[in-house]
Amino acid sequence: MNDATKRALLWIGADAPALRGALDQEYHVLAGAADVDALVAQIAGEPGGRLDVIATGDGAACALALAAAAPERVGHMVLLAPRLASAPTPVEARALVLVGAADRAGSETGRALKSALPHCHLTYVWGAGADLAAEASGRAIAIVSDFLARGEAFLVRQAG
Amino acid sequence: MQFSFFHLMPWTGLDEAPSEWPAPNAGFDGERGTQLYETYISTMAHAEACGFDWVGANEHHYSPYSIMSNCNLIGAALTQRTSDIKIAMLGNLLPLLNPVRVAEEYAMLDVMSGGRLVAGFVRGIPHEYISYNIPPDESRTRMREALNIILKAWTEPEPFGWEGEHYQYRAISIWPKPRQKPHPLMLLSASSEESADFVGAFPAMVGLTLISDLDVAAKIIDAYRASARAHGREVGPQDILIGQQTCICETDEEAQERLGEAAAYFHRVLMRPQQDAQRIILQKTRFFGDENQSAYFQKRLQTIKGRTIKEQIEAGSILCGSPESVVRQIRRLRDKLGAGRINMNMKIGTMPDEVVMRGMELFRDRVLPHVRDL
Repeated sequence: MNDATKRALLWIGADAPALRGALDQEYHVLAGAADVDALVAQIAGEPGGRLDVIATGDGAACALALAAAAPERVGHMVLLAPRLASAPTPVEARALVLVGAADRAGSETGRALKSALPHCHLTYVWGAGADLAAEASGRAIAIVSDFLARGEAFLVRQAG
Repeated sequence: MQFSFFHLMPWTGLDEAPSEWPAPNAGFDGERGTQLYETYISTMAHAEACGFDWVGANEHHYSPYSIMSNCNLIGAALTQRTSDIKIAMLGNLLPLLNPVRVAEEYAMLDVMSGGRLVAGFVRGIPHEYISYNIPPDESRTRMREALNIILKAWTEPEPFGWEGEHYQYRAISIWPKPRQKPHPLMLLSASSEESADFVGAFPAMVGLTLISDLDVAAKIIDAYRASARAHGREVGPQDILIGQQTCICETDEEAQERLGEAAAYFHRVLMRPQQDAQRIILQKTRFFGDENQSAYFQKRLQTIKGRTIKEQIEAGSILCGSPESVVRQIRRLRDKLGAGRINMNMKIGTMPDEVVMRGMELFRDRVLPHVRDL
């Protein structure tokens, strides 16, 4: 698959090399700025259609702001071990929120997101803590890939 | 004819329909839940005094549609509150479960009840597969393999192992074994000619519910009879169970009004959360063998929902009216479908429990005497 046929994926927040490495095969990964206006300008330069967003840690707030500012451009959103300074405001984009099962602060944020976003899937990752994004275990990689590929249908386990 | 009193155990305290699936459970009230279980189990036990032959229950997940995620627990309670009535589990969602565990729990119920178990197995409604993370595409092959494991677990004289497509066990030898020999009465559900053909291959009764058209139901039953015959078994009315939402009151007008109000909650609130999950499954999987079956499944639900109470009575989808009217409606099911068993679900949506109890007593006093000998 060449870059021209890959779907665009915007990355916001600290890097998670293992996860990015796994997604590089399928997605054209853009590094995102920390400022929403700059992000909107950046994705305006991308070819049409929706692009997906992955945000790690503090990048979650930026991803939510982007989804609110440019709802027509944001497809699926993945928030890894999200950290928010204030209560989330609802956005229409479908979100997967991954939280380490041992991450107590992350659990609070995850619940707040699940409660606030109308299309949100909250998943705890066994064996992970607050460093979920950096570690990006095989479990996390598998569910992120599946969600990006199948959207809400990732709820349904496939045969084989 | 024989009759079953069935309970879905709905949650009745919601003012608004949950907007998503799974239905959020933050508002679940444990004290109210305890009260509902007491009321519902007492109502079910009362079926014995009202002349019913079976008391039935089933399994659903993640929804106020039903607070019965394991009907075997309710069955166990009923073994201690009843003495003669059959305990009909209608049934366990077999492809979602560990088949050996199902064989064990059903064997326990059969022994605890003195051999009164009716062992029902269903493939379930599509969205239940998300609940237990089972691929819907595998539902039929899991069902077939699991049924064979259970029959072996109940009847094999010696410990055995199983190496299958979906299930592998190096050794199986359940304690207890069922009391009924060679095994408990079995029932499988069918909603199409294809699934009826599947049921006929097993030593089991067939159950149909959500009937939208009596002629279509008759064809499904014909397919069951033909399949059973092809497998060396002649089946009769006693092998055919028809599930019906049922409301019996003193007059037709009162019954129709009561059912209309209660069914509105059933469709508007209890059925709502399932719709999203159902849509995903039906669009993205081959839960049904082909698109025609998938379309039929959806159309059947919509057809019944879109009909008035009178239209549903006319179509043979429900039993509703005075005792005299319900006698006529039961006779029609017997004549049109050759059914020897009716499964009555009287607690629909917000139907008041005292109306359910009164309906059970009207059934005993003014319906049963006229239909028992059909």
